[in-house]
Amino acid sequence: MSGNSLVLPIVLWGRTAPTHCISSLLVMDDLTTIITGCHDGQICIWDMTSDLEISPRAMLFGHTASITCLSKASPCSDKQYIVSASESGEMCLWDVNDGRCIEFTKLACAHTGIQFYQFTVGTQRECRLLCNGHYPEILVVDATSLEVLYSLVSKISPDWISSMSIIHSHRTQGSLLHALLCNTVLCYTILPYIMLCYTMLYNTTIYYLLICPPVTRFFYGRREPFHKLLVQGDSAGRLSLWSIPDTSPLQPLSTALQVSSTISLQEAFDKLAPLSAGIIDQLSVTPGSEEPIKVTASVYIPSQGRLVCGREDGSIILVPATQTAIVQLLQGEHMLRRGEGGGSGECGSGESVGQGRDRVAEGGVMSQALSLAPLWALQNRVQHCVCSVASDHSVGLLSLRERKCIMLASRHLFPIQVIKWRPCDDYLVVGCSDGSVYVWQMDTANSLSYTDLSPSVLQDTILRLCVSQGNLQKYSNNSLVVQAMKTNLTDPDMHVLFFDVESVIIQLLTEEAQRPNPTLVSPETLQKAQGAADKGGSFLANKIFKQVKETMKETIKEHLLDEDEEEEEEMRRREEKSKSLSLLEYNLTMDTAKLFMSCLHAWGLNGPLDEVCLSRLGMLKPHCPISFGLISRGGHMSLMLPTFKESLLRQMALATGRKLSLSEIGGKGTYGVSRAVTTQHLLSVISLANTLMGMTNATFVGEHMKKAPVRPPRPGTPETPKKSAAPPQVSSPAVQGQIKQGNYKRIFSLGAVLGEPLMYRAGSKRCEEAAQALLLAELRRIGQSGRKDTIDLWAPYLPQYVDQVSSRKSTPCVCVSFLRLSTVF
Amino acid sequence: YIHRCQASHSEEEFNWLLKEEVHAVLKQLQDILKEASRRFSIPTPGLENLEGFIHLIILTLSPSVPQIQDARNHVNQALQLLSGRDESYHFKTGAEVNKLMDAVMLQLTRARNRLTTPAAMTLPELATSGLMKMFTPPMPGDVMVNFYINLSKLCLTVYQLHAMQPNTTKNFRPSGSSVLHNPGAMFELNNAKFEVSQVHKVECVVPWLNNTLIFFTISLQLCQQLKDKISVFSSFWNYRPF
Repeated sequence: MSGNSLVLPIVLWGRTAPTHCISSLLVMDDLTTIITGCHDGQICIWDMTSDLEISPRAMLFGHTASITCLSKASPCSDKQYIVSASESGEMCLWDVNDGRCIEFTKLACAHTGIQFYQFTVGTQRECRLLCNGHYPEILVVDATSLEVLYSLVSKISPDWISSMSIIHSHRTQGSLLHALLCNTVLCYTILPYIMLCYTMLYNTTIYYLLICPPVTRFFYGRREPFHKLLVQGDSAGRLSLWSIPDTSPLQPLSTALQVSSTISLQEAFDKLAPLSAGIIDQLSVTPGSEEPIKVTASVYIPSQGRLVCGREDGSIILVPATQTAIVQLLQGEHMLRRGEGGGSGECGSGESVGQGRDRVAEGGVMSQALSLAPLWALQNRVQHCVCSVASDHSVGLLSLRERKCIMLASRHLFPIQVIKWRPCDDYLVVGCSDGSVYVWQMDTANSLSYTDLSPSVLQDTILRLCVSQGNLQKYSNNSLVVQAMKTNLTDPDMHVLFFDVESVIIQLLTEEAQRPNPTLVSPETLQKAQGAADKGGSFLANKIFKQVKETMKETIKEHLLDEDEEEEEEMRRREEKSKSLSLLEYNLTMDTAKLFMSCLHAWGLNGPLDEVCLSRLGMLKPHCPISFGLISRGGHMSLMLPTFKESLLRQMALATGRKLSLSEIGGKGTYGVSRAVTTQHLLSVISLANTLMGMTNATFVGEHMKKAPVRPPRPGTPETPKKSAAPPQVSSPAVQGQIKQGNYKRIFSLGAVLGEPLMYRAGSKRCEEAAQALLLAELRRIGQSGRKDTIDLWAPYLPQYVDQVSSRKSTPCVCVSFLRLSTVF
Repeated sequence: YIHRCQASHSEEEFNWLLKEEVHAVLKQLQDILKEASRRFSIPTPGLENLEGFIHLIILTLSPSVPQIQDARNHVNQALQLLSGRDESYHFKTGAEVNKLMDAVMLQLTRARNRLTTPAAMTLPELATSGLMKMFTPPMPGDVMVNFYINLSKLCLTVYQLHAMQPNTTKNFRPSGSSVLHNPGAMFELNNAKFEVSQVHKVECVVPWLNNTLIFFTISLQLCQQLKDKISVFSSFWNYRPF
């Protein structure tokens, strides 16, 4: 996933909340947000109301090791930036509002403490981060670029600095340095106060098992509301708040302090209704038990659009990815099956492959599936294998065809971190967490060599060598990629669907071009063809016209069948559908587009349009607000937790003065969470709607959703037109197409209208890129002649526009205005 | 019935693991690491000639060779983690032990990596580093030294520098960061350009460093084995929180 293209993540968290063993925490100055960092490297953003109610909003991914410290990184409240540092020396600057990574850097050593410091030089405000950690210096880092400006070193026996405190002095700024190097925590007046609270705290509240000591910190609001807060985060992902009453610090509190508020991630997940969906919940919830069988490992095969899920009971399941995602996210005829017992043959059902080998998926990582269609001349046996890692640090090659284990490599002392192979040489290279590397022969399971104590550099080198050789597959279709993620090795997998908007569009256009009847591309061409025929034009035009007529007939026939509302027919179709699904004969691209559009459409803003989307375009409404994500620089990612709706509901209830249900907020929910996310969504919707507008079968209902193109005509009824039930607009495919086009146009312009004001505000590079993609799509759509027309049309106005848009920021707005106008015309 | 019997047995076994075995392993770990930590500070008697000389250097330099200082600090952190859980502490869950082991292993891996991989530095970085500043009287301007540890070897590199004429015809290309720079490498410092004319490298095996590395490896394996023992129970109980 390159940073250039517009890629939108959608998360299926599952019912189990990710492990969040809190290692550090921070309360923002305005007391509306709490940030926690965990031992596995994720950062969680919690919303806090003025009544001290908390709910988790989003999770930030990007650090590879335990978060060692968090600090604010911006002075004012309109720009809420935080900086995080990890055990492996990474440092990252985040925007708290939308979870965007603004800057990141990596040093050789880890920071254990960061303090924000602001000073003025003349009129200029300068922001610095003072860092201490596993190095004998204090590094002074620029708060916006994360560049190390200079370091403070003690001349006398320098050693690691465990903590520091900045003393603000009225006299000079010079006293700062002195305070920094004294290696002790200076925490005046607050100190006895905290001690008191600590003693009370441990007497009363700890009633569940912790696996490591909790983190407790004291914060006080500098603005309304002036809470004094003692915040504790522990290994169970639980945040607890104590609001401390205003008494003199010297006077002991007479009664034990009560917990003001406490919630854990898992509790927040459990409270949700409906529960947060997992990717194959429809198959995993067995009738007897409440909990779904956990997916412990998974791999996505993009060429087939299938997802392979290894489960904790040792079974491996293959499912079509888009189908199963649709089941989990959207409302539709498959609704009944959601969360129901998994009978095989149901929608999205998989084929069970490797029952019985218990150690297969246990806690391990299925790192790669060996190619199912390899380019290299692999030995036949190894060709159809899945590689699996078990909890006893052994590697197994499981043959999908023979349904047995054909190789077992088990001599590794440490957990396996990486597996690579050179298929042409039949070697398997295994890298362990302690830095040792093993080479195995795949065919005979002979251990060929073993290097211990090899520096990590060597391991990297060896493995990189293998990568260049082992990179077998290149897929043209990466419009949808399903990535399994887990925050902790012991967690079940959660799945993130990555939609590459550009790829979806390209794929749609390619398939459109490959269609047997390219003449039926759009109503315009149809009209053109008709016009040409009327003129008594060339032989070719006549031929095309004939073809069009024939297809028209066929389409009418098909459509009439579609309109059939008899129950029998419905049932039959359903059966057929589920059958075809299990046989994987469905149109992957259209399915992807359907899922994508349904997730992104701003449901609930325009009632009639929603109706049209549902009935004519075949889009499906989401069950509840969907957890989207945002990819930012360097592969950093922010994913909304399913619980983000809670804080959203609360906000909206405040705004409207009444309680709202989840279904009511539907689309409004996602369109209001964060500016950056909204911008991306609007751009995606616009560009996709735009593409679909120009397509023949630009609807997600009907037969073309399946691969098998021709359906045998149903005996009996086909020729007779169905009575009054058929609305007039279905009489001609041209009109029908136009209607559909019109509908997309409406979605399109809705997006454009919504988008425009946003663009003005969020004039950033990201936005510009997206706008560019959008513009390209539009240009592609209108084609050469269209382009010329537009230019001619706009020629008189263009110069003024160019003058106005000389600044980089306003380009996207112009693009959108331009696009909007071009659709209106 | 057999199943229930097994379950109760395994539960007893697990309790024994948490109560006895874990502490035994922790004790063992602590002993090994204390030994390793001791090596960093106390001279071992009975060294002769060159070794003795080198050891003397290490003794005087050891706070200044950042690798040794860092390794010592990491070991001390690991010891601190272990000492927080002495025999009086009762482990309640396997996850708790795993977490502790993870933290200890992280520190040990860091300590080991610090000794096995010397830092790659650019020549200007080396010139301004603490290594150059600790000599009294200061080094002559045309000599630079670098001390580093590579596995169990102490390496001393001496660079003979040659100041380049400001109007030299030779095109100037500053060299990147490396553990060992070759003759001909160029760099710029305080607006003056230098070229490395000669490089002398001396290596010496330090037995106690070798021992320390072995201690690290043994400790890491002990930690991993303890984790594996716990994971056996977790798979036996089929993912029940234990």
